[in-house]
Amino acid sequence: MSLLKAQDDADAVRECLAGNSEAFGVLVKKYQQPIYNLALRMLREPEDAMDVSQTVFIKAFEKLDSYNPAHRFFSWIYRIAINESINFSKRSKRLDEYESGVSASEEMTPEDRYRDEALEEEVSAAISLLTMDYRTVIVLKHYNDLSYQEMAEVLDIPEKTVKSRLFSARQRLKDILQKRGIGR
Amino acid sequence: MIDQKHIDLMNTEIDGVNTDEQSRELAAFLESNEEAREYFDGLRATARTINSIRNVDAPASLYHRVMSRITRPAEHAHGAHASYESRGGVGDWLRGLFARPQLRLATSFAVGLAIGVTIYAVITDDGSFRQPLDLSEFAGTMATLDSRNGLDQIADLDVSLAGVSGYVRLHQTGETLIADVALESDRPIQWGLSYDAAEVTLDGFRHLGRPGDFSSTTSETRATLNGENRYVLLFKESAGVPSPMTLRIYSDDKVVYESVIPES
Repeated sequence: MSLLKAQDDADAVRECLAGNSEAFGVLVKKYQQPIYNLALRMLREPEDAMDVSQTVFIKAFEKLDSYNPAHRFFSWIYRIAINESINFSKRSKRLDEYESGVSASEEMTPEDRYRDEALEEEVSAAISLLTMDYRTVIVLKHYNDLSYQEMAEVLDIPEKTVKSRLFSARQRLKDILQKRGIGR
Repeated sequence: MIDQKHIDLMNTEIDGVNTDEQSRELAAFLESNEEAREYFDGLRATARTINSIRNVDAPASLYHRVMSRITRPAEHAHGAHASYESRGGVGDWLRGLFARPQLRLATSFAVGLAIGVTIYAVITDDGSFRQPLDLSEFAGTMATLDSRNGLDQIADLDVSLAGVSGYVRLHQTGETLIADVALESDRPIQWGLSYDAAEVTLDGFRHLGRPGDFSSTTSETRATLNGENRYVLLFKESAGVPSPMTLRIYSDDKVVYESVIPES
């Protein structure tokens, strides 16, 4: 994640803590895209992703004095985003339905898949069938482009656990997509 | 049956972190094992499918929504890292008063009266400010944004169009309406706020950021926008209830967005 320059983040955080709340805008501009996409892939619905992203930034601002500068800012705010997404999904009836598989059928005919939007919808639906642990590692790896080590930092788990969780999640996703006639 | 070591190697190959030696070992294994080849092809296709979904841009209004929350005057006064739950000072004191039912009405009246008197005093400070036709004279003459603390927010409209984003908020105290219009555009556009001239009269405005051309008729206020700016408009309304206003965004003189606030 070379685009995430830790020093810039540290400077912005310091300015915020010194009373310049406008400096937080630098962090919002820098992280709004990855945080929004993380929430979108975790929750599927753009409106939900928007709400969660807003909450993430406001909570980060409110809790900025509890941020430990020994760690990288991106791992701290990603962790907030993951926790917020998980909390949001717990409150969301819609996602409960997806997780239990009630409303999302795994079986679909190949003829249905001829549009990019349809493919995106299918992939999003397949991801939403994963448990939150699996969903998180898939999103961090494939949509936020984090390394194993960065994922370990964000999730606060050993790198070895990240790998086994990611590989299992990918296997599960492969099964779901193949049952739906995608990704063969 | 494929052993875990080679499944792991397949995954790390897909993630692009295998060494040359590991890649060669995997290639040799796949060469000799048809089941493994099929499995790897499936796994790679899955990864390609996931990766084919592109990231999208965050809505332009996200930045404004966040920044408008964290840079409100009350929070600003207490420092950037003050928790919303732990704010103190006048803001808390006012909130405390409003929280007590027996004092709410009296407090509302007192706050409204005080703000009304402040705004009136500022506007009547110079006689020319009372001539609505010469609107340029109103710029910068309104009460400061801080004086809005304690006003009732009666509408909050988020605008999120392709290339245009921001918000419009309406506040009211007594017969005074305050419209806070903060918009950002990546191309030249106009926005307009229209209202019933029999019920609402523009009384003044203040702009922050880069000002555009500003004009007003008896029933509509318009401003050009190219970049980011914010207008705070002060209206007098005679109906006694919040009078609806219509926000329109024009591009090449055509209406590309329209919304009525507050929603009926």
